Amino acid sequence: MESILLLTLIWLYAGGIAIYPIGRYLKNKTGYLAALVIGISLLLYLSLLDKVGEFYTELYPWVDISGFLKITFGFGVDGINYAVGLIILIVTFAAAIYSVEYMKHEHALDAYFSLYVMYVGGMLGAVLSTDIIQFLFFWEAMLIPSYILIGVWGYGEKRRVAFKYFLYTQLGTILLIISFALLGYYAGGSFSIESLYMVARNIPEGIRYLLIVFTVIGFGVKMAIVPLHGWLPEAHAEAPTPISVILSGVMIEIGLYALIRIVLPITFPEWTTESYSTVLMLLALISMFYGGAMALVQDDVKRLLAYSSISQMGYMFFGVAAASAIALEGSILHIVGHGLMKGLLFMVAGVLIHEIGVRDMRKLGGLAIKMPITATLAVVGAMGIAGLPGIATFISEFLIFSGGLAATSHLKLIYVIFAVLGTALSASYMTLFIKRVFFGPLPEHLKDARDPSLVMILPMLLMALLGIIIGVYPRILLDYIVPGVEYLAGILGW
Amino acid sequence: MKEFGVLLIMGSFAFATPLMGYLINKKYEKYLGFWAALSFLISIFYVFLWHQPNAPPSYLEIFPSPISSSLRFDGVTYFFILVFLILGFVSALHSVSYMEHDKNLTIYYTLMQLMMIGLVGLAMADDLFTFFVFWEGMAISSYILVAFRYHLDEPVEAGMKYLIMSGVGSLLLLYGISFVYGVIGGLHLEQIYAYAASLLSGGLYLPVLIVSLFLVGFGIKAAYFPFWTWLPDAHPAAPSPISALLSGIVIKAGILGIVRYALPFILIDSSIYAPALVIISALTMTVANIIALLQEDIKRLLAYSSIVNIGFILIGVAAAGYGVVEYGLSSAFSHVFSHALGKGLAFLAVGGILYSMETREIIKLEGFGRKHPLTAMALAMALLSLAGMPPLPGFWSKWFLILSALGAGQWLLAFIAVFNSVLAVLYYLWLIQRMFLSEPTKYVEESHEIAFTIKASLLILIGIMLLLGVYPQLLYDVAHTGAKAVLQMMG
Repeated sequence: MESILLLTLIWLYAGGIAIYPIGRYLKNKTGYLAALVIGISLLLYLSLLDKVGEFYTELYPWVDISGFLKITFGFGVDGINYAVGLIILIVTFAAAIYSVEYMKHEHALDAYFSLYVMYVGGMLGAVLSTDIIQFLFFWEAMLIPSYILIGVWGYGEKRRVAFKYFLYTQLGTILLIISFALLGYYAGGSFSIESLYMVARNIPEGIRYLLIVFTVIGFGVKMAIVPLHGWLPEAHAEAPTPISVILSGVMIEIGLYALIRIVLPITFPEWTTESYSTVLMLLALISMFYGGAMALVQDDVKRLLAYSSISQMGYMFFGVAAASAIALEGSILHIVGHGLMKGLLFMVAGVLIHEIGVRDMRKLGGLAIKMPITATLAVVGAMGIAGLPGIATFISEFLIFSGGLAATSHLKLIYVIFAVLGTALSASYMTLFIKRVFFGPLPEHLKDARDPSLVMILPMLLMALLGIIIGVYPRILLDYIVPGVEYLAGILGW
Repeated sequence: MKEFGVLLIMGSFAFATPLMGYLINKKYEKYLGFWAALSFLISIFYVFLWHQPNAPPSYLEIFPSPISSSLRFDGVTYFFILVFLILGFVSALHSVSYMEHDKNLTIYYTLMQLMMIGLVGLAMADDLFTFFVFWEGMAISSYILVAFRYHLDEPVEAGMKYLIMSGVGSLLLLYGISFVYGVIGGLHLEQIYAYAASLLSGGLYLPVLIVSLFLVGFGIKAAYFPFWTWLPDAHPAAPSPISALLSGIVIKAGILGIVRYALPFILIDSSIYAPALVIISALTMTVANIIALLQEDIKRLLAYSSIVNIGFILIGVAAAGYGVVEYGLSSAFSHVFSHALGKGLAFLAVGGILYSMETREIIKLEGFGRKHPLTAMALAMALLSLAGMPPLPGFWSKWFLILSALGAGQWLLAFIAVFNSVLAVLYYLWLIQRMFLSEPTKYVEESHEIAFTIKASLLILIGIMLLLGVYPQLLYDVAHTGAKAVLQMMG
């Protein structure tokens, strides 16, 4: 079939719309329908597996005004976005099943799952877009549902937090729109990513420097690069847990993906100049250490994980800032690994909220005896974030650092050394988390704690297993990612 | 030639209205709204039927020389008439239920049709004299419509303010027209285009004087910086369908005037007036946006947003002033269209809210979306389109505008435009959030069902907006017929 990606997207959106009326009858079983919709789109997406190597694209003419504006609506996969799209569908599939039990007692589940599926459509569409205007479309299409999901079904000061999230992202989008308009202007009104690669050399150098600044800030808001991270700890902590899984696990990484896909190839010569890359690497380092240090001192489980996401985004951004092919492969693999592991940990946090209603670590402890399965899964997740061998994140961090070591200047080498040291920080806040929640004396009020039902365990198990499989045999993904990055490097002659 | 039949159709319907109102029982007076709507609907089909979008302009002489008044029908006319009539149709439909408890409905519908005739006529005018006659016809009907509920204080006060400011504007315009006649010896568009460039030989003084008078005269109607002060009072005070017409299309008449009659003078030396347009545009957008952020009254908020969008439209006009005529005007016209749809829909949706609960205070509207999903969705969609959210027409027209500003080398203006566009998202979203996310207030709980014609008018506009949003080529093509006509006139 020739329009399978379009079909996947249409299926997701049609499913999202259909869930709303059908959900009224299914009540709290609506989640299974959502999972079914996402599951089928996952199968559709997987059917493309053998076409990834040949850079499969689908193009549909959309707007064509000669000399002014030419937009092609299109989807394409290569190794890079195939991996990212896959992780989006897997994580959201798992989180949908998880939602069934977790959101059981919430109101308006028809609207929740309808928005949930459309949110997935927005993310997948953004990742598969072959045109930056189309990308912008889906970029907003993932912002609005997520904003409502946090604002309606969240915890605490949910409306303020959701608004803050929207505000940050939208202000970042100003800079993105400006950059995109500039890019299109230099490409003679054509906005497809391919054609932007072609005209990359015609863009004046000064503009390219400006583009880097604008897009790093614009996408940096989504990626929560310090100091643009203000929205993240609150939004990720106060969102309903399945949405936290998606926010931390896959959504913030889309900013990084866009940076790799759109900005890096076009501005590669400027990106790798001494001054720019050291500044960018420094930014990444600050994110790593700031996120790690803040995670260390949190008492709230979800806030800890949120800060940990900032730190982990630092690693991925470090790989992009290093701008070597190997580091880039590492960053993309880290998107996958981190998506699985951070998703798993947020699900563990959700189990705590759902089963015992406590998310303050000062009131937790000794749960390993009462919740053996959850504790095991939490340890797997913690190992993943700490970057221990055997889990996907180990491979990816290793690639990021070895790519960084290819750097020529001493300053960059010092940065790489610091980055490696940063993993110690990850390991310490993760062990602290495990110790405070699952070990030590069991408080009196947690005597009745038990492992959750199978509906919550299975999605967690799926994520953990995938993380371990990729960790043990990373080639199942690297075989796709590496040619993708090499193609990107080849086309621009890095 | 046949295109001019539109005026005849609308004229016959309008003159029949008072007669019918006199004959029928007062109980059925409100159904005159269907009569007005029918008039506009037939006119739309008539234009579609008889006008080929790419046909050369056709002329009709009304009075021979020395009065020398004539009509023309070209791309600009076609585009503006289409926008005017679509809005007129839905507003008339909306009025049927919205105005059902008011008195003097015969007068209301007659005035509404006269205002529409004024608008359609000024789009058809070939010379400044004819233009001015229709302009005043439109303006006078709109003064009375703003103050239509004369037993209340607010509309009368707003109507007076509007009358005084707009009257001064018309006078200045007339003064400008007299200068044009003095130096060119004629008021026809062809004559203006042919002789405008020669004015420069006599020094800058005359063209500057003429353009200044035009920019102030048209500017008061278009309500850009700093002449907008009447608008935030007049638009909210009018009945909602009239607000939709005023904000949606009447202020666009000012833009039409600038594009038709001021642009030839602006283009003779782009270094004089194009920068002025850029500054006006930037100030209009930014200042009005900041004031809009502070509004507590939903209709005032929408009125300020109209001013912001006039600023956006001026980006395209300014780009045209710098010589990027085709793209600049195309984008300005597409924003005219998308703003007319968006703002029309927004005011009609607010009309639905007023119909069901009679308050304009945003704080009392919290949770409205939970009880009246269609109306709230319509408002949300209109606001998102105005804010430039994809995939709605507002996004596309703003995108066109930003590109044309870049094309004209106005980078700072493009930046300000994007900034304002996103700023607007904030207050729109804040409004949408209160309507959908909050629990319904007791006022909302007591609100009653919204009538069918109001819902129908909303659905029609939603349909058009979705069509243009998903298929933006159509939006651009319609706007482009207008821009091409101006290009043709320039030769």
